[in-house]
Amino acid sequence: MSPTNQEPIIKLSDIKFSYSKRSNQHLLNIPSWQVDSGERVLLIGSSGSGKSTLLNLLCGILSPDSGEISVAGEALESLPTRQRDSFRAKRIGYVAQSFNLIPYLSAIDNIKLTNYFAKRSNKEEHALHIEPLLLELNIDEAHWQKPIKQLSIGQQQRVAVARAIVNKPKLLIADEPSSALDYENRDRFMDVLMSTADAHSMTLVFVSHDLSLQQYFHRVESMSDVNIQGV
Amino acid sequence: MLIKLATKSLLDRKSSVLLSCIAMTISIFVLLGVEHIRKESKESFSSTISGADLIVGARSGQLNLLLYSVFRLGAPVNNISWRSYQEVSSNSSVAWTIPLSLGDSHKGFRVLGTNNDYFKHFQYGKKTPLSFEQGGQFKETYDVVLGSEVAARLNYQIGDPIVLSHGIGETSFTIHDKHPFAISGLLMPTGTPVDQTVHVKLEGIEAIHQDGKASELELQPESITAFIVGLKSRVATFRLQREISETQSEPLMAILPGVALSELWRMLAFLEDTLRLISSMVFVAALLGLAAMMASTIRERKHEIHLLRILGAPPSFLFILFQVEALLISITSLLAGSALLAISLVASQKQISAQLGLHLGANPFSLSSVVIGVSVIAATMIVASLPALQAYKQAKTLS
Repeated sequence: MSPTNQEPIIKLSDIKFSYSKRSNQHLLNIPSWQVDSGERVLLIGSSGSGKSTLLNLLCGILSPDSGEISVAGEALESLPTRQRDSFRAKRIGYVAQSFNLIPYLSAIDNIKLTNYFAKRSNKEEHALHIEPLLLELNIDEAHWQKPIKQLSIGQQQRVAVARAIVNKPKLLIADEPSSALDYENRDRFMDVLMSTADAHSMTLVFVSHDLSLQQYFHRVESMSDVNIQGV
Repeated sequence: MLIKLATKSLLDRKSSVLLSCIAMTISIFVLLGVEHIRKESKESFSSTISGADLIVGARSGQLNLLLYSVFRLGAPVNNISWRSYQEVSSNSSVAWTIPLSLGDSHKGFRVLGTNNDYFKHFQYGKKTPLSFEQGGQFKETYDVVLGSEVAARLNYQIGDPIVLSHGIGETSFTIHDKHPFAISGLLMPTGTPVDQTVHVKLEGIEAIHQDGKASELELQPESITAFIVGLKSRVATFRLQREISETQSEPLMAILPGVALSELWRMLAFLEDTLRLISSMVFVAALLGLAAMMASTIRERKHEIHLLRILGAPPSFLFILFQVEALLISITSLLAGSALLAISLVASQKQISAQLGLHLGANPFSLSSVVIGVSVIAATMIVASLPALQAYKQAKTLS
């Protein structure tokens, strides 16, 4: 699938962000960046390059000090915090390197929890059915009711993908989700992730330090090109 | 979903949660226990005697007289003469009297020498008279009427012979074994010290102390410990009280049971307040322990908080989650503490009533325990708002 020429799903302009409000040194300084709908983008960056922070901004968990972020047609800064939280639940799927799931809940309960947060104002749109989704992602039925911490890392990451897409988000964000896996598992995981993103026509923003993954993506960007750190 | 998440999260941290739960349970147990014992002992004391206008004994403190004559606690300082008793009894304003003679015991239970007026006039609770479960009042000199607890504990039946001993310890060196008594009646339970009393005739007491074969006439006692007075009209109470106190022949004292009891409450009020304060402090300490435990987990739950945020949880959800977790611990402890109290009350009821003459109901649930329960929950919510607020902040800033 190739990038379509629709309205960009992510659009950043003049973003500045720092955790400490006192310093003038910005962790993030992004003049302009965008991702088109349906695109699969690999964002390469080392640790400390601000990629996790950028993802938190895209999710609307953090707000920039200045600048505009538009995701799926919504200007995040114009949304009240409450709505931003439910927007995230409905529109954005997120898979992180680790701790994607509440370890003491089962796979089913983890996914139900995601539904719970999305459902608040989302009654008319139906989420995917949990059982077919788990089957689609090749998760053994014997593991559905077990607490997540009893599953292997590979299984956990597949449950994490299921959890991330259950609300049929437009945008799937992945923060080094494969780095905890060995090569064999990594390839299997990447295949699952790509076919899932395709099957549900989701835009994928994938952050990693691993350039060898670039075969899976339409576009590869370096964090240092996106983010001009400095004053 | 919120409750499920909170429950599973607590279960995931079993050991620290369990410790907090135990600390809270113990503190709630103490809190409810102090309140229960305070209330029940007051009730128990107040219902021990009713319908009596005056209690007369040798001059000492009014509390002392009340405690040894009615509650069988402590030892009488002195006896009073039979003649003084006769004089007061024959007073025109007196309706009835009950003589009380203490000092002997039977297997650890106190023996009370009296006469049949005791069964006729003694009242407890809300003016309830004594009633017999089996048999009846004294007929012969050596008849014995047992309180329900004595009969039950020693497994006595009507007609069984028993031997009294001098002094009030469980073991005594002077055993009046020449004079076996026979059980003529068993009283119904009253929930007062009457249940732990062995009642004999005054003449019976006299007979064992004379230690010889004396005729009925010579068994007239020379002295008794105290007596209870019922008046024809309450109006005469203070006049008679003054008359008795001014008796020239011997130092007597007459007390109003209600007044003496209220003096007891006044003395105990300080103790009660202290106990209450201590038990509330214990609870506050346990509660702060809980808050500290929860606050310390925020660091280790950082990822969990971040994840919940990513899933779309607003920061307020984290505040509520922490509050619910604290409340679950608090409610569990409240239930466990009440259950523990009810169990220990059932287990220790007999012991307490035998040793202290206090009848504690086994049901710790009352209006005041509901008030305590609500306060426990309210206090939990207030104290837990500190870690909950930290969790809220953590969720908001992700720092």
